[in-house]
Amino acid sequence: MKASRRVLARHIASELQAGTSRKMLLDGLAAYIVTHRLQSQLELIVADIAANLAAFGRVEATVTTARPLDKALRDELVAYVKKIENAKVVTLDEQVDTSILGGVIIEMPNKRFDASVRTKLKRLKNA
Amino acid sequence: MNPVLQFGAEQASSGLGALGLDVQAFLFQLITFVIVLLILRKFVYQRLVDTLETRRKAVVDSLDNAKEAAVALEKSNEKAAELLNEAKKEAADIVTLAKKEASKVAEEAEEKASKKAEHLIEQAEARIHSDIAAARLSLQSEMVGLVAAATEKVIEQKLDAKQDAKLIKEALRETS
Repeated sequence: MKASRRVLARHIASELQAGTSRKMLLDGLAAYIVTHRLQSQLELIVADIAANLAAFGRVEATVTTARPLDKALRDELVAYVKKIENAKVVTLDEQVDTSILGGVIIEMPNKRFDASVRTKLKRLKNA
Repeated sequence: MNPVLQFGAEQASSGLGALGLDVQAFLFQLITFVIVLLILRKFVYQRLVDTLETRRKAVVDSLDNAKEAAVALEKSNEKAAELLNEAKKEAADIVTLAKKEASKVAEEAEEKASKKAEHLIEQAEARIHSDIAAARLSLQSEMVGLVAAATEKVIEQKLDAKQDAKLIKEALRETS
């Protein structure tokens, strides 16, 4: 039987919150998506899972910087996300992209914070 | 013998005859004259008189007509003169009016042309201002683009890890 996207996301988030193995859950989710041909909805499913995890106080944020993060900066970013999302646990997915020149882009389940030098220059050009 | 002839013979030998007057011939001529007179009166005189009368009347009528025609002509001349005067006056009025109208039309045309010229000048000025503003904007945009490009190059070369970390921390502080 095929569950709705939201039900599926809620289930995965609940299992992650309960401490079920992340790898096992992701494998199961991948199999489910392939079986039910939900590949086109993959991004939406991931976003729904993130939103459900945020509701449990668990936030996964993608952080993009021009250089790899050091510990102090990472801690500061975690604290920032915790404060903004009112989260208990924050997991950072760190990405390095030199094209942003400097600064940071933080993508949270419900918000996006772009303080990259590239975007600032773009705004300056469009002003 | 005819008593008349007899009387004549007697008279010839008496008083009148003694004067050498032939009474008989005289009487004959008298009678002939009377007859001729009667004939003329009967057939000629009346027609002649009628003809003359007709001619006289015609002449009188002609004279009367001529007088009337003369009076009428005089009246016509007076009326023509009056009409001519009126026509001249009307013509003068028309000319005056036409001059006024022409002057008015010329003034209106001048005013219209003046307004149009002013409008064209205003439009041209507005267009010039608009073009200047657009040129300024374009120049500003170009300058900003150049500045941004230059800044980008400088940042690529000068922004080190320490400065980048500082930049990130400031950004987080500003929004939290």
